[in-house]
Amino acid sequence: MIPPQFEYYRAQSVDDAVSALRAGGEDAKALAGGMSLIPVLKMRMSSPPLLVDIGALQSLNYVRVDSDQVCVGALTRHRDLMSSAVLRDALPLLADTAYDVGDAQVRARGTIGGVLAHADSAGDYCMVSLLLDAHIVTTDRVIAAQDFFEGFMETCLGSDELITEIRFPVSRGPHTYIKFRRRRSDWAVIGVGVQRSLDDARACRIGLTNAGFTVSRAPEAEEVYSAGGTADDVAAAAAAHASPLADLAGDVEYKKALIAELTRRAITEVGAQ
Amino acid sequence: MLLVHFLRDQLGMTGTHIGCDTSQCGACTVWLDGDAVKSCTIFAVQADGHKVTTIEGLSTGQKLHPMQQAFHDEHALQCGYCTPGFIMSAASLLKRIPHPTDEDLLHGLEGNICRCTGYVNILKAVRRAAEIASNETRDDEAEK
Ligand SMILES: Cc1cc2nc3c(=O)[nH]c(=O)nc-3n(C[C@H](O)[C@H](O)[C@H](O)COP(=O)(O)OP(=O)(O)OC[C@H]3O[C@@H](n4cnc5c(N)ncnc54)[C@H](O)[C@@H]3O)c2cc1C
Ligand code: FES
Ligand code: FES
Repeated sequence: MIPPQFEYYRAQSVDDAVSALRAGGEDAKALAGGMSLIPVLKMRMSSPPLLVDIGALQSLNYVRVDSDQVCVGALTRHRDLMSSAVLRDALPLLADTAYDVGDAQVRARGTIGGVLAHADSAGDYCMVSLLLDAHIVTTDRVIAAQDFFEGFMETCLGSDELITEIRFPVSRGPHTYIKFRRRRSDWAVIGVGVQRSLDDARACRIGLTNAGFTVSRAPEAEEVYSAGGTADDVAAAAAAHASPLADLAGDVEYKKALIAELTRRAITEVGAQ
Repeated sequence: MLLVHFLRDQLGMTGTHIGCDTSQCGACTVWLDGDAVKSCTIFAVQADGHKVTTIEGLSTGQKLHPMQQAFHDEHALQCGYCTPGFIMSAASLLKRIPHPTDEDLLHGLEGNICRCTGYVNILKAVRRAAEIASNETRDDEAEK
């Protein structure tokens, strides 16, 4: 497959990238790890006149932890996240999630900012950022995760706006992310993430991957949990309120059954931690 | 232009294969600055100024790289289509994790698909290459 022609510019800094994108017009695009954008170009689903390569900007590759926040640079790669000791201590759910994104070659190139900007409903970090009420810092503003994902692969990012950092609350409580796939390197057919509070055993957040047009929380299921419901009750609530889409992996009934079963397992697992 | 097309069509180095052309199979795996990457999912221009290593660059003269030797010894290939990619991925994995557990191997090689072998001999070969490498380091240390 041959991608369409484009101009290529390797940005020297974040400011340089923003000016290049501005000069390139509405359809110019940033290129980070290329693990989603290059396949899109090869399938000719998009043909930007200009690609601004930001992948090599080391200044946006970091994990920093202060007392209550974990700040992750947008160009931090999946492999860096999975092997970061500070991340594993302060936000193990994110490190675990990174461990199972794509495969080794994808993890060596793909970035957290790229996953958020691509905004696939199966984007694992999209779910984690929504689950934990993360904040997405851009070259223009700070956006709450719940306002960031607007629809099917759509975000509120402007065409010359870059994600620079993602801020998560430190979360050391019991957690799990169960990602159901046919092959290990695939995207989730359905994924269920659970993060329980460290101090309050009845406070937990539940997030769903690939269970609708965008990633989602399961507030009804969270309420059932805090009211003392069993894992089965929580699972039933999660499935009842989700609107998964039928696709090649299965129909709606199958997806709902998966949501229920994975939620049941996730809640049981977190309860046992 | 994609890196794999540059390698095969411009440089005539056809050791790097194209299997799926959709970022799934790993047949096109090469090293970029020592990291295994899929050359069908990276533009040649992105490699400008960086070091690219292909399967052609692994052996030293007639002496095979330990991973190539181990694939040969363990009969880790049948049609051979996936082999260059597997060797590049596996050799890169051992550089990062010299003593891999079974989980490390499965996790580190999930980006490569083989339609012939059933993977058993491939895993044997990678374990053997890890052993050869650790024996060599032990010998080197003994010499010092
Ligand atoms: C075989 C395979 C399996 C995969 N499996 C998974 C999986 O299981 N889970 C998962 O979550 N992902 C998966 N991915 C996708 C992978 O995680 C990509 O890395 C990710 O979707 C995009 O990140 P990237 O850095 O490669 O971005 P790119 O592909 O370079 O860019 C993607 C989009 O984001 C924009 N963009 C990138 N960075 C920024 C930024 N800083 N600011 C603003 N816009 C930006 C680009 O303009 C483009 O529109 C898989 C990919 C492959 C090839
Ligand atoms: S040809 Fe590149 S991953 Fe299959
Ligand atoms: S040996 Fe034939 S595909 Fe692997």
